[in-house]
Amino acid sequence: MPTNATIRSMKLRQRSFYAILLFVSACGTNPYNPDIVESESSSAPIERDTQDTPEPPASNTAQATNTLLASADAASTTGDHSRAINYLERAVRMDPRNPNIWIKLSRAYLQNDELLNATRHARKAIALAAGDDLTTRTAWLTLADIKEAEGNLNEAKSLRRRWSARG
Amino acid sequence: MAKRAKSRTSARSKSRAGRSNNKKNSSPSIWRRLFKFGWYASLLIAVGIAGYLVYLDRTITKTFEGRRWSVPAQVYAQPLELYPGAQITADSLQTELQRLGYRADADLRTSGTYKYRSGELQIYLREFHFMERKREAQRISLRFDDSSIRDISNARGQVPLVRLDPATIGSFFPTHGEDRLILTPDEVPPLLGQGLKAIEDRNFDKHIGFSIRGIIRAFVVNLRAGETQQGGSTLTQQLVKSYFLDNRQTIERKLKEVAMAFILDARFTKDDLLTAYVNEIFLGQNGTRAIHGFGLGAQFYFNKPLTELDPDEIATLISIIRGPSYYNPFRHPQRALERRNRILTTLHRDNLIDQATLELAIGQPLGVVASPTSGGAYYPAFMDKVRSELSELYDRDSLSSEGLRVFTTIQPYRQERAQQALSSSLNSLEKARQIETGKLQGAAIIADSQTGEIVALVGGRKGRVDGFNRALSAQRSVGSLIKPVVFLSALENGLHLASIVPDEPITITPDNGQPWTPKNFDGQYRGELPLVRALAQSLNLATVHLGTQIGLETIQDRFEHLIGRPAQNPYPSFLLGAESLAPIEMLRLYGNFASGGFRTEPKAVIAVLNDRGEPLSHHPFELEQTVSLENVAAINRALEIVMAKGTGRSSPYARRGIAGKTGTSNDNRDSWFAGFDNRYVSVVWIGRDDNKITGLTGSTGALQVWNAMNTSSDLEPLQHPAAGELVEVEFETGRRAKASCAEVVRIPVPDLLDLPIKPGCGIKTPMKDRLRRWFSNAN
Repeated sequence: MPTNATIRSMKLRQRSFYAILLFVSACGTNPYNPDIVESESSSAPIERDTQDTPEPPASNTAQATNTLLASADAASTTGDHSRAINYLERAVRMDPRNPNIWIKLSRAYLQNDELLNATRHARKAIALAAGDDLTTRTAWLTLADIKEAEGNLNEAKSLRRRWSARG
Repeated sequence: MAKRAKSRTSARSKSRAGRSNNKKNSSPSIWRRLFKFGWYASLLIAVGIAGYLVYLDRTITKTFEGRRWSVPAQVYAQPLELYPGAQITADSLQTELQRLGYRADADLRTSGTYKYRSGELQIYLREFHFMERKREAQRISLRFDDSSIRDISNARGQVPLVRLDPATIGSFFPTHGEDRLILTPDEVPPLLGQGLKAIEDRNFDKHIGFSIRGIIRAFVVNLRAGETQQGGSTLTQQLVKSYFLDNRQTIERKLKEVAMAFILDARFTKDDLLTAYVNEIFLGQNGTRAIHGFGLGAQFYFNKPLTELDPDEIATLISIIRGPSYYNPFRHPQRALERRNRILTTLHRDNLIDQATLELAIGQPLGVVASPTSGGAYYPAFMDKVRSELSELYDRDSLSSEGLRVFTTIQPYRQERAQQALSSSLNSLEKARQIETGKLQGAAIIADSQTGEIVALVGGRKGRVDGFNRALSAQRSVGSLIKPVVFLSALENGLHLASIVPDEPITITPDNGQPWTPKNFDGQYRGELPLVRALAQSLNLATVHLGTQIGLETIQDRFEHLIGRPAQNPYPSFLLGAESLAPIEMLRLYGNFASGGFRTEPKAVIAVLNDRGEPLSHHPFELEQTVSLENVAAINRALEIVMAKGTGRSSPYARRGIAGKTGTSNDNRDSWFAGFDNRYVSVVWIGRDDNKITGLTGSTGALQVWNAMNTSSDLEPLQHPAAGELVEVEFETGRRAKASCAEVVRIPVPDLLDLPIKPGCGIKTPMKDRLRRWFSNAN
């Protein structure tokens, strides 16, 4: 356990750090040395031959998967969630790293009252959405809905509070 | 004397007269009795026959009804999805169509045909009942760019997405090995029904199940020949034989056959009997699988549905009935061809085909697919996995009789390429290393890394032979393939890829065990080095030091979490892979990395429908998060460096953004490779069934198979969405460096300030970071 004196000393040092940082910045000195900023130009990526490595293909499946998502929506509207799940799984097979499809799949499971599958698919969506704030938020809010369906109202509320405020 | 004699004579004559009188008196009674006896006997016999017929009726009618529609479950592969932008050339698509039994036809007359002209591929798709809905037969037209589909259209306009029908890859026939594709009366082509009657039983529509004239004729012919030359059986009798009787030629059996045929004929319509015959008759043998019925016969011999057969092909199938072995079109093509032509002539004589059709048909080659083992789709190793998944939900009877439709994940072209790669690589390795031919064995599995769906599963070097399935069942020592678990545990316990570990001698004496002194593969020590290099070069001593530092228990807990079962080996040798796993379990382990941190169950079944197309079970993707995004990104990055700079570097795809690990067990008994790109995770194992030494390492053995399984255009470089900013460090030492001053690798490191800087590279720590370090140190 840190003593009060230690905590005071830490706080003091932190404040001093920010003060000095402010001072340095104010002096117009660039605190970032360009030398150490990660730069693609310093060398080619060492482990890949970029010149002959094809870029991952742009999402050329978008039109096809959208067709499937529309069919899934239509099936859901009529209450046929199992059929919707079939369409969505087919879309996942075509574009397996697309978090938005996993979110829809998670929602279809939620509507079909398959909460364990809904949770697993929402988690997968969250993982795949890394780096995409909007999708990440949608995925977490989907998980909040699942928590609510499970009767876990506090967790649902807490997730909504955390993720609704963003974006 | 004479008196006595007379008297005797008289007495005799009296006696005769008396007997004669008696006879006269008793005659009506005897006849009556005889008549009575005869009557009762006849009655008894009649009752007996009637009883027997009733008994037979009950037995066979029930069995006949039960079996007439008894349909083994059909198993389908994943259908190929076609959409604008899909990466497939017109050539590959035509190959795929041929695999499905589509044939080129300039007029596109029936479904199951295609034509390619001036860059445009037209396909007359077959009707198919998919999981979601039934797709009607329809014509579509595709245009292509260099290596992808430009657009698809049908009569109504542009089509954003369409599927080919899936390949049928097998069925769950009962244990006695009979397989069939059941047809309804409407599905039997008229020419087949009429042709069968013309060739096999001209009086079919008139007789009562059997034909006395036919039996007598056969009896006379056989008597003259001194052997059985003619059966004299009607179609109904043939049906009875196939359904209920064995092949013995006895009077008793013949009588039974006649009685049964009589009953069936009385019980069922001629149409029913003909359809049952079409579905039942034996047409050949494929290994342990007996080919029954024309539906399956058409698939087996011509790789297309019965409805698409031409007259010459129908005639070929009819010709086989008489002697599936004698007229086997694969083994005796000339004999089969001659009989087919005789049959065609008869069909023409009976006005079932016209002159032009006859001439065209006679001019056709036999047209059976090249050989019964190379044509069609039959993947017993994958079917083992399907069977094991289904056995949890369905009993054997349901699978073999209820006409279930099982949709699975296999992609036939990947399966065949994987099988071919394994078989040919094993041949080359045996030649190159002078290993006795046929001794090397192997297994390979490929799955979608995000969903766990198995797209190919190879259980041995001979793909079409049922037998020991090494992919599912061979428990083999895994060697260095276990190491990423050790390194993952290290990352989860505060280390990073540039943390330093000693590669130095070590001896461990477990509580109740022998002292253990592991060595590196080359017997050398490399001193202190970064984790990333230790993993890339698969250094045993560094791994054992690291494992000891983290703790065997922690690592084995991690192993259990990742793979779903506890480790078997409680000793530190576990750290170097003295633990046995089946290839499918290895796939599960590497699936945690390939998926981006989820234990993703390898699965083969998507859904099961009943014979009316209603869903019975759906088998969802099974996934559970096991590793944090940051740590899995780091491990994947390290595995990519294994390929680029380490033990995987001999692969032509080593620097294509692939992650992988080679593994070799003690004394080179097992050669392993596990690897993944952005889409698929694969595991390959090579070894001997007798567990003798092969001399192959992971890199010289299993990696070669993986190389052969892939092509450059298939591989999609791995994405590391959660890796964050990558830092260049010297591969040798783990110090921060630049490519201009050192051999560097780029890895994620949680805190730059933890890294020493290689002098002479011109790297300076910015003021901000220096200050932060100063303050954090002061804390």
